[in-house]
Amino acid sequence: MRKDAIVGLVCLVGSVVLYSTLGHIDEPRAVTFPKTIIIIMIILSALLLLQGFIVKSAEKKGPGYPWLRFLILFSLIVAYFAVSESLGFYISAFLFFIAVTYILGKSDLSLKKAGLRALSSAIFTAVLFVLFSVMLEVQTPRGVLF
Amino acid sequence: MAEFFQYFPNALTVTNLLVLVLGVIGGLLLGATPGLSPTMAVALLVPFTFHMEPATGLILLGAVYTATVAGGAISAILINIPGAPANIATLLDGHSMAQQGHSQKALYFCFISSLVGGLFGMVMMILFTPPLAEVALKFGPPEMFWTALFGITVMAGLSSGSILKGLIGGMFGLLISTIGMSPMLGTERFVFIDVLAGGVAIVPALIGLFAIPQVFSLMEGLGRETNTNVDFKPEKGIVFSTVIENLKMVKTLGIGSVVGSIIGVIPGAGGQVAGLISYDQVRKFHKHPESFGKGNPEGVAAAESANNAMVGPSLIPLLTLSVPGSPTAAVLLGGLLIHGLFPGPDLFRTNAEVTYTFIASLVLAQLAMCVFGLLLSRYSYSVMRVPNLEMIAAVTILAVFGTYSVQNSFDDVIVMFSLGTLMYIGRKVGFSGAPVVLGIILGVIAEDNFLKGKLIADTDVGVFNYFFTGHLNIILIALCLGSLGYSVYSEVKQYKKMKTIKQEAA
Repeated sequence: MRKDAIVGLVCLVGSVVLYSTLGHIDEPRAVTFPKTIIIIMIILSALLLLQGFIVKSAEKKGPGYPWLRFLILFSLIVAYFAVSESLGFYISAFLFFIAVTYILGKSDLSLKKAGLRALSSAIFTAVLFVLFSVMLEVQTPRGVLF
Repeated sequence: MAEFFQYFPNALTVTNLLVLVLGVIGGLLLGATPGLSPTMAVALLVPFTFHMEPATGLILLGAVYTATVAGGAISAILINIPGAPANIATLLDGHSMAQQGHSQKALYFCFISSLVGGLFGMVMMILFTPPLAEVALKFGPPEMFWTALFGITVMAGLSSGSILKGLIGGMFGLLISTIGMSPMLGTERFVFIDVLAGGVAIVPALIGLFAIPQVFSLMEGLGRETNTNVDFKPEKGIVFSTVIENLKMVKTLGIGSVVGSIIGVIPGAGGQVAGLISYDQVRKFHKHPESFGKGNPEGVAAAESANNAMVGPSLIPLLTLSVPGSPTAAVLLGGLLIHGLFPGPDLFRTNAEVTYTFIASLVLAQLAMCVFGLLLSRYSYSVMRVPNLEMIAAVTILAVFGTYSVQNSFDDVIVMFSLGTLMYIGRKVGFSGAPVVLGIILGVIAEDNFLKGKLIADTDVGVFNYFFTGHLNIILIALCLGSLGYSVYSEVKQYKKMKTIKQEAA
């Protein structure tokens, strides 16, 4: 099956599932608009599915997708979210910056680069602190230190 | 016009001028940085403005919007990568000039021409926006509903390669706007988890849809970054001679400014189209059309005067009808809404002070863009050396802080990241963030007016007569259909062209 046809099929199934979730709402006026939108989405998805079969799209060939790098970055972001409220926004941001630059950039990591990246992280975090906590007075989760 | 001069001094306060200058410098640097889109830059800044006075916040967004368009020319000229689609025509001659050792001169041409075009566009905007906003006074619920749909059809057609995917994206955005409580009835919809109970706010959506896909795209490019070692040779004492040489190009600057202003008013057409059409027209009317593409400064002047002349007029449909002229203008609309400023006549009556201060600051931003562009041009190449790794970390952290700071809610951060990841996957299969964002922003207007209209129609002339008859309704429906028809026509034309190229290659 061609790419657009798969995308059309996924959108079609998703739209039907979303439509079914509105069934339990008793107030009909609250669902008129979303139902209308979903019906339009179903029609558009069906057209995309059809177009996927009729029109041959150009398949781009490029370098393979860096799945491992994606999973590492995704996990680092999730871990960053998980600890930011307990550790505090600034400490977790500092650690996240270091983790990203060290782990994803480990291929060219030397002692000098490690120091520079840690320094960049410290400066960036300090700028964030001045910007958000001092100038904009945003209340961020305090965590263990500040 | 009188109001413009009345409120002009408001833009000259110390705070506003400082914000304006910082916005312009930041915008120039962000525009020049390959890998950071202007739309994302403005989206990341929206939460900062939330904590400022409305006028000051809008001045920051307007300054960045203005400067990123010109800043995008820096990378186009120096490394042959346009910072924004609006700068595609600039690289045709700008990069050739840089290859011939005239990088700085090309940059000077870019900023001076941008100023001329930008100021022309601003005059057009100041003259035409208030009277057009008065037209919006005649709009009732059905007209407002059709206007919201028109905005989505325009963005759907022009922001991605496929009209079907653009429309599905726009509809998905409309659907996202319905998450949470129904505004008129208080009924919960699509609240599958607690995080969604309050609905999806504009800021998490803006940041998620534009910043997170960019973070993952930067990750993909790690290890295969373009060589940005620019052969930049500073030339001394050429500022005044270049200014005079540039200003003598009256015909080129005139064509660029007029074409840019006309294209700017057409919602969705954007700076890319303006730059290319202006470049093409100037070349056609030139004595030596063969010199274009080989480092002719008039090529740079044509493209840059047009893409900056587009900035002011692109705000006319935005400020009068909520129909943005470009994805960045859609983000700017989000910035207006979070300050409680709704496009239409009220913007020029009830909120005249904020609106005219904002417009005055846009004029000042054009001047500041030129001055700081000229001053910074010899150092601008250094921003192109910021490694992607640092950019990935910095953009992610800014996205988290910016999202959190608006409502002090970590739920917003989760919504932002989830939407962003979904958009990243969507981009892989040909979807674009702009129609989704516009759907989220205009969804509330569309649903509210749809329900109000239906209530009136049920007790009056019926839904069909209420929504499908009347001059304004018919004009707006025709605009929606025209926009869709044009998109389908362009797509079919493009498909046939590709097919012919393939057949010829085979």
